[in-house]
Amino acid sequence: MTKRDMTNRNTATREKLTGWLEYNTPPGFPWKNTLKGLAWAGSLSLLWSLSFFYTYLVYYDQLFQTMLSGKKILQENAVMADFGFILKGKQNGFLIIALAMIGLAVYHYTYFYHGSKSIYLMKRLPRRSELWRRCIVLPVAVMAASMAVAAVLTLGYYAFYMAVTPPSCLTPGQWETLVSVGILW
Amino acid sequence: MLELKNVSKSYSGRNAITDVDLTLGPGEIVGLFGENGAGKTTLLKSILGYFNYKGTVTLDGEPITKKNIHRPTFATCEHSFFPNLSPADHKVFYQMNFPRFREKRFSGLMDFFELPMNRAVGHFSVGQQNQFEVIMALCQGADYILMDEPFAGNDVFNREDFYKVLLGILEPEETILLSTHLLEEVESFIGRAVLLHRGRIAGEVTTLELEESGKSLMDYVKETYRYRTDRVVKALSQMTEEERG
Repeated sequence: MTKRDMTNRNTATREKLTGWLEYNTPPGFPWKNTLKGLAWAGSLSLLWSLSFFYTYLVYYDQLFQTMLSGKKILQENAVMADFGFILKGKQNGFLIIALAMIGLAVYHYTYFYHGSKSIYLMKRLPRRSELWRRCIVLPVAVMAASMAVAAVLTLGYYAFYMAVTPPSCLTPGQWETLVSVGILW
Repeated sequence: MLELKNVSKSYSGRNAITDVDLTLGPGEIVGLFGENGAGKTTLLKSILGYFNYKGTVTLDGEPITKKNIHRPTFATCEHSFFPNLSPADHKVFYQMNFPRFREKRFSGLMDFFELPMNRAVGHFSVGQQNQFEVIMALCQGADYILMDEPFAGNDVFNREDFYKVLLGILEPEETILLSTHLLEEVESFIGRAVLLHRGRIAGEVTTLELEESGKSLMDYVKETYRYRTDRVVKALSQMTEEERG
């Protein structure tokens, strides 16, 4: 694929995305601001989520004893902190984004009262679904994407936890600790 | 035919309109008059189903549903356009949603009123916004065009232009229900006047009947509302006497 093909492909993708956003938000809605906000919120949520590794390393380090020579050896009967405990609160950013989408849907609806009463036009469209589509499709899509990213990251962290933790330090039923400890707050 | 039977609407116990019966035939231009708070806007919004009401509204015998909602349209002084979109964008939106959109009429009216095609409507002057609101209502491809004080904020020349254009472009099957306070201005081109008073129909008269009786619309309205012409004189003389005394 040439550089030109790549550029054309990127332009086409961008146009598709723009078209999709214009089609699924209130007409004239400043969705670019929404995207900027989502990009910031998504980045912060991801950073906060990735702090899982820092917390993991803190507990991982406690499994070892540092000898005078500086060498680290695994402590006898050392037990790794539960996966659910380490992950607790790390996905809250994505949850907050998902919850904020309810607010965005409401904001989309109230947008039809901003500067005019375009709600009158929306309410007399032959396609009655038009009004609701433009209010909820983007928030629902972001909500779903946010939850999906959180789920994928959780699976990745779990795989990492199981692969890196010394087997002798693992207690059984780690996946269940997500439920018993609760991953929120 | 648009038919309203016993239409009533109340807001928190207060009646806005009560038992309104009204029929609009194809091609009619009907003026809807009444004092502020008489229920004109409520009546128009009831027709469009913007809220629940008692009674029935039918279009050729059918209730107004998504099947025939494209047949009535609404131009309101509150404006129903999207302020961040340009007229060109509105055209695309209307074409997507109203298959009978009148493109030729749209271009003609935009040219006539010299409205910019690519500037956001929210940046227009109030007069231009009113013009645009009416243009969109006229171009939707609807049979029943409901207008609620569409020219509030426009100067007299502007309104005069609009009346002329309106009469020139309307097709025989297009019906207008025009709510306004500008009785004298619209008297010459409406075919019938409906008077609302405190939510009820207080009078209905055709302009032909008015011509035959030699009365003006204003005379008829004053008569129907039992307007006391001596009221102002009495009040003024009372006030001046008090000051002298």
